[in-house]
Amino acid sequence: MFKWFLPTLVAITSGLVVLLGYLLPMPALISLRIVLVKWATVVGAFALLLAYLSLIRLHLARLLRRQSKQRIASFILVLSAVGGLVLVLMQGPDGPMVSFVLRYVLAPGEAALLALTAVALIVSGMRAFRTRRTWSIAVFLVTAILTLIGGTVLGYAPWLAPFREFANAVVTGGMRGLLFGVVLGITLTGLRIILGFDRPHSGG
Amino acid sequence: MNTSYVALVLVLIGTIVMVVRAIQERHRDHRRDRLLAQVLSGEVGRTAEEGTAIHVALGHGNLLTEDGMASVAALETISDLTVLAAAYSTPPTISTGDATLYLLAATRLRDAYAQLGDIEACPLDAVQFVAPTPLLYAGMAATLTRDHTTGASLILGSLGQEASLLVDAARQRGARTYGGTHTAAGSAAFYPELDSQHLLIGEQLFSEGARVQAKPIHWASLTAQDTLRWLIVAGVAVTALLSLLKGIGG
Repeated sequence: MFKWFLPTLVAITSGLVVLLGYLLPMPALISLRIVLVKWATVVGAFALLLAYLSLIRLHLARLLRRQSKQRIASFILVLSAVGGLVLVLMQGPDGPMVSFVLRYVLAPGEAALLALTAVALIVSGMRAFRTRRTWSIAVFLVTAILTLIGGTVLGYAPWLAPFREFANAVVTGGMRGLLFGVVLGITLTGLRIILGFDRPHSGG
Repeated sequence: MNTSYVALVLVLIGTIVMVVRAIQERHRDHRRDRLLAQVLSGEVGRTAEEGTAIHVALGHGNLLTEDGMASVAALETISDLTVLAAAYSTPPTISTGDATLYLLAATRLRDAYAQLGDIEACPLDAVQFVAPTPLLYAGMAATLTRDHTTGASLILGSLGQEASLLVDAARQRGARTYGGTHTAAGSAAFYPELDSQHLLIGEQLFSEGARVQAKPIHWASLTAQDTLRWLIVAGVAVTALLSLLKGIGG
């Protein structure tokens, strides 16, 4: 009973309250919704703590395994994870050293990864054009190249304005179409959980 | 009309259509209609024969946000695979970029072992939380794909353009790759590398998750999804027509 009935009951009740709290303008439901969402945030914070501990445990185990090839990477990871935690505990989330690490280590690293994604995308487009010479891949490549050019000074030339408008209309239409489908998918997946037909929390 | 009421009406219609269709379809065997999920389950045997492993990258969809439903759908899509992998004693490496998703994925893998009555055999490090931000997650998960003897890479869930790093890593490794996400940026990253049999775009991720479960209620929810889509299309068309007529009438 406690394995699936109680979690399912809690999931259905809280799911219904939060959903109706969004859809119906009833003050009691809205306050209850806010309380439940706050509780969920607290649970989320504890989940982060558990995930953090599991990450440290995994990499400490790798460090202790002599034959592991990833010992250096694990050492750097444990050092930065524990170091980051110590810094935040000592100075708070807005401390000078924490801000320094965020601004000069984390942000440049993420920016470099972001730049890599653009390169990876173009390379995969070129590779796809070599192996699959279809119209859709050709359209993908031409669009990617035009978008890259559009991001430069050339893209802002006045005579290109009608093309920009056309491209915006096509992109907006496509995005909305995709979004409609996604929203419906999210709604129905959520409904199945709220009505208790799906139980991702207890393996059902 | 207040948009909250429109949403409420759509939710109610969806619920009614789903329940009615579930009752109507309760005797039909839907397990024959599955597509990608079957291919994914087949990967367990293939990788076991090759002596390689499966890496499942579940993305960073936080369960407290709307992206959480994409994560749930991704977990549903790989549910048969996890049970089969537990039976073969070849658990996949599952990486997540979100703490709540990490807990859910670990629970699902433990449940797969519990179904076989061997929960003790569930490896502790099969599910890994690798990084808390999307780009760092992609970087770390790409390292996992390269480091392990990965034979198949399943990249499913909430992913943006960082998915291109994961696909690229899988390609370099020579692993069979499957992808699915609900975001436009993520789909753009998958599109040039994966053919349509290996790819789930947008709502396909949610429908595949439902199809894997193959119960009447899941098929009914797909019917409800189609019904709601046509309602929205009709609503958009009528609104556009009325605006046009209003414009012509001055």
